[in-house]
Amino acid sequence: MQEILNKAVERMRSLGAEFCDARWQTMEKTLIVVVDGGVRTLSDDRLGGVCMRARVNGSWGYASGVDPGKDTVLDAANRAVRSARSGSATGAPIPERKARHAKVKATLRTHPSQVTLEDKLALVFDAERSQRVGPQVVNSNAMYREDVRNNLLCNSLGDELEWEEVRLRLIGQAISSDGSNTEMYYDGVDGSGGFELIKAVDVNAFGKRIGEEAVKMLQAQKAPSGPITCISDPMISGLLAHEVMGHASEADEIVKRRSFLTDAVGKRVASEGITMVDDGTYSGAHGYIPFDDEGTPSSRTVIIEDGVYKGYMQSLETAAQMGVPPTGNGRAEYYGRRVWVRMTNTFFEKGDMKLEEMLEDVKHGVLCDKMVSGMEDPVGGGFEAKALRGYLIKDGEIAGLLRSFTLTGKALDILQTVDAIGDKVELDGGTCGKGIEDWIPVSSGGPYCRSTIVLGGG
Amino acid sequence: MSLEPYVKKALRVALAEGASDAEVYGSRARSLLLYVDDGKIKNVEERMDQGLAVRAIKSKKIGQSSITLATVRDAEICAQTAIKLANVSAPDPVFKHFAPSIKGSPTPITYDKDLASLSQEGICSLANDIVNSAMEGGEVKVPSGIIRAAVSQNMVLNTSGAETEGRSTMLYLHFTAMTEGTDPGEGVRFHYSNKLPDLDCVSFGVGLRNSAQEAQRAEHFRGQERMTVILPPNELADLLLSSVAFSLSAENVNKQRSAWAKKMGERVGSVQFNLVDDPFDERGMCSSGYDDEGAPTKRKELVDRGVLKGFMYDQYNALLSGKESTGNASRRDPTDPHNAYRRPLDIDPINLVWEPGSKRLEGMVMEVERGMLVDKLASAEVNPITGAFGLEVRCAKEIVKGEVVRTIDHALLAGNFYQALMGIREVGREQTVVRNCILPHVAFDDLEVIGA
Repeated sequence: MQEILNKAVERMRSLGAEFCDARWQTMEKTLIVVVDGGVRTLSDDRLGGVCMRARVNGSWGYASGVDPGKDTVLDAANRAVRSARSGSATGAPIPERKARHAKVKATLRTHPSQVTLEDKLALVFDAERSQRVGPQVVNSNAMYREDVRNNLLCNSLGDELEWEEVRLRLIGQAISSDGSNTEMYYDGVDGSGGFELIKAVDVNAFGKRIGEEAVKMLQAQKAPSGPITCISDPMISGLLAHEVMGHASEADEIVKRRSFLTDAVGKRVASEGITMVDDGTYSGAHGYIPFDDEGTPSSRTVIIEDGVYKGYMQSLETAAQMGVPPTGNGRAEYYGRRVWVRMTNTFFEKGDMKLEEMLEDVKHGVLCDKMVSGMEDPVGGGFEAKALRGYLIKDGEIAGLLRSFTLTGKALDILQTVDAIGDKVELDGGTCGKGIEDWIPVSSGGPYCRSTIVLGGG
Repeated sequence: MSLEPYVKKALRVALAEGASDAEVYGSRARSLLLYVDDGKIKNVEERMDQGLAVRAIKSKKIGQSSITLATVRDAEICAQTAIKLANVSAPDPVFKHFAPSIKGSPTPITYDKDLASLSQEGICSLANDIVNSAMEGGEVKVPSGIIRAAVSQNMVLNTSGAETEGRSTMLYLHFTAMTEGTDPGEGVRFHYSNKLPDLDCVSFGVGLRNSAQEAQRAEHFRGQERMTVILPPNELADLLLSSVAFSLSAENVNKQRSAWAKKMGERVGSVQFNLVDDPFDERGMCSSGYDDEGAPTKRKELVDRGVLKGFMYDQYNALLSGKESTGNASRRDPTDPHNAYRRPLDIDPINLVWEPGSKRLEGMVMEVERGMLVDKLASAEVNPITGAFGLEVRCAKEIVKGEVVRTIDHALLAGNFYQALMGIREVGREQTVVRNCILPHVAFDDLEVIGA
């Protein structure tokens, strides 16, 4: 396949591409879903395809398909160059550099392909069955997913790269009802690595806790509304890092001045003590990648250091335009989707406070517990995050369980009010879209952080 | 090569490997995409894919497999893998057979040959017309935009005799515009259709420009109060799909996750709440005579004058409930036809229509004493199980005594969507196609709005 890709690169160069790459990618996914004691889904998904990408005068042409045959690939190379010529954008040329050659296998102990389907199925059954702690659990669900990607990339810089990515997830979700109210609780484990990630979980304890917490949720009260002292948990801290500060630090938004962080380098954007990074080299995290989809090795990019804004995440193109090195953040959902500047593992670094110490000073506030979703706003810098639940804090003590609520406000205002940062970072894996498409595996997180945020409960 | 040889091969292999019943879904899509970046055409892309999904039953156990199709060998692998999974699965007493062969109503026409043959020059021309209209006057720029024109076909074949085929076209646009200068406003516009003449590029571009200029004028909302809120079709669609469509799914009814599981025949909304699933409306992005299991689709009353009338069924949940499939098994994405074979079958509306009311939007606004007309939410979603929502309003017009007095942002709209449906004040006359929905503006009374 590598020979065909190299020929496609030669073809695109000969047709006038100033830069080009050719990618072949396979993805194999296994999904097991057990619901209420029965197998609802046991599926296998195999995806394979090629993508030719050519750049002419600052515009890109892409041609992708599922047939890896030489003639089809070379035809796609022709079409990519023709498409690039249709564009009207301009941009700085991508600089030449020394070619890279590498073959990287995923770092893991037990490849999921070495574990039998029967063993995986038994584990998911246990994770589901143990959620049924009483009659108030009316629906129990467990899902296991493995995702193995193999990538082959050749480009006009002379790179010949081959690498593997392996990711696993186990999620449990229980629905509880008391006849009038219905509530939900979930938990999950995720990461890049082998089956040892899942084997490390006591799935019976994992499921039992999900069931018990779902039942507790039936007693949860409506959250208070309005500005309030809020201790965000690692998931909600991660949403602030990812959705607002992260998306707005993607350099493709900067070069077209669509980010509220354009020209922010060197400025204070957060309280002292706040440091935020995007780190694609974070081994074991869900967003770990050895290379991005342009062949740039992943790296650790400091975005905020001790409250001061430091810099952006870059692809080959944005780095060329801004005259800085690429950071390994040019990522695509798969071979059929375009490359954008994307995050990997994005998080706030730890501080030095225990959660108990952070609670002590709060007269009236809220402690968040797990997230439902969040939304980016690179233009306005607005923060919106939906928490799964939380706890009311009164006079430094936990005073009751709160059902789902939304947190909102201007990110820079929130970050300026942070007055306490926890001493432990946790990451949560998931997928991230650019706008409303192009979903890629990432993680986000941070420590517990205390700030002032506007709250609204549904 | 058509899909048929691959689909038939996979079915034969599944049976030869011991399946008692099998179903094969095949799809193929070709699209032309264009991305606008900073007012210029940045990317032009051609994309083609095809693939299969096989579901096989062996000894009452089900396995599923999907694969991209490059050769006939891939069809064999897909069927063999489904059998391999069925061998290790647990018996499911419910799923005895796939959708039976039933002749449906004539398939609506959702294929436009002009759209199917759109050229690179043609798609570039559409983009330039939009960008030029939006940027006219020099006050607004267009940071990003996407145009996706696609043609797709699908085929379903199963051992119960179902054999269906369909083809359609799709045009999807998503553009943003931004005012220049400090503290800019951003506007967003979408377009969904399956026919090229439905798109008016100039009008789309002008709407885009206006939305950005409105957003720039926005002042932060302060305080906390309850008011009437008019939601536009583009935001209402996501709210409905994340809550009402969830609760109308027989899968969620059977799992007791639906808030309406025990409310058949009962009131779930005001009398202005009239929902049907109409797969024969040719405006619908997913309209079709058959669903993705090969079952005929049907026009269904879901909610009539606020009273719950029906749920949506696929074959599995129909068997579980002792009912017939309503033809709502779907693998479709109304914005992207690629990789349909990879998507899990889910119960979805084929084309969810909220029946129109009698008033134009201006008339609806005139009758509001205190409220807001939303233009853009950060993310329109509802907790499907409880109905709770907290939505950041990114741009809205504030209404006092029937008149728009200013534009506002940074407000949090909070409440419970299932309760809000009981307080519908008015339903608009004009409908818009959004995703797999056709919806009017709808005004809800007494929602909580919280400012900083």
